[in-house]
Amino acid sequence: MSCEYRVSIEREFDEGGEVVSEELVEHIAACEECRQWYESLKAVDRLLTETPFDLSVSQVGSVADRIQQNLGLKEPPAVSGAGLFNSRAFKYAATIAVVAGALWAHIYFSATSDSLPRAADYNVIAEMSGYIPKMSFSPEEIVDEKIDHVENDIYEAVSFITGCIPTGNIEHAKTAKKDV
Amino acid sequence: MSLPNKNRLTALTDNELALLSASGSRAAFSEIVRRYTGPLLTFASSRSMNIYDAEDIVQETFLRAFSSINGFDETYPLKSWLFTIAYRLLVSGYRKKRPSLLTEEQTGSLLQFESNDYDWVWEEAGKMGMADFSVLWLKYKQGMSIKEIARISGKSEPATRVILHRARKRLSELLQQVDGEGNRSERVKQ
Repeated sequence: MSCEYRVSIEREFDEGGEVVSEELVEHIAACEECRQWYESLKAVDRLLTETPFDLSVSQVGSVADRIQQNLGLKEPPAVSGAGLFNSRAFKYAATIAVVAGALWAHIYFSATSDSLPRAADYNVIAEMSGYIPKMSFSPEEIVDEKIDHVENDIYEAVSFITGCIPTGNIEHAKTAKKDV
Repeated sequence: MSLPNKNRLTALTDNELALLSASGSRAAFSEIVRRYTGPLLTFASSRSMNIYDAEDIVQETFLRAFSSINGFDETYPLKSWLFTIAYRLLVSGYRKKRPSLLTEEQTGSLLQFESNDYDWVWEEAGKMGMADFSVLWLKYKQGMSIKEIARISGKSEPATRVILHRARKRLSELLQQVDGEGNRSERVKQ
């Protein structure tokens, strides 16, 4: 049977980390059984206190990040630029933008070709292409005329983009170009 | 109470953070999560066998704490409160339902503990029952008093002392069988 002092020794040890009361100290000094038991108690106590039992810092950090995000305490990490361009949402948005742009261009140029002289379209394209110097055609100057091979590229481009046939006073344009 | 900036939050006590959280500061609760994820995760992982279940328990602990932070009793240490929630989740066998994609062996290997010659001490402690391990863990790794541990585990103080005595006695017996370098004899390992 264990010495009756053990309960008191252990209680005091747990509360203060060591036995300090005079009565118990004297008993431990006198009782071989209690002295050995007290030494083993201190050894286990030291071992449990000093032995690390911790998860790796990186593991804890990543779990803490996830929990903070899941609880809405922290924003999820920002998507990198490359990631953004590769994201599904960006691809959808880009597709919608292209389709909407093409639709708008078709409607705009179709409307323009009906209400304004086709020469206006021709002027714009010609000026952009750099082939014909800046000039303007009046509606009266517009005539349907076969466009020769020099204007062919512009003709096709305008047809393709606007869906209408560009026309203009080609001879006038050529003359103007020579003057420049 | 004015809201301190993020850097100053780290200097606040647990209970100051809890009060700030109760007043609506998410940053304050985020700091609580940062402080206690490690201790709670280690505590939970020793009982739940894999990191995923442990993480679920820790997240559920914080979720419950967050949802009831307004009722936090500031006379009660925040740490004890968090461990009480986690302890009850563990005892109740809380486990999020999810398809099991990994084997027990795989998930077990994902736990990365810092290595030490005396690792076997806590490994042995982990093999003890929930009550024994919890008392050891809360006393030696969280520095809690018998009174606090009794409150967390819902046991009386004398019962908690008995559990602590029994657990230490078991470890003391094992300790007598280790060599000078902290290695257990083959007999103990088996």
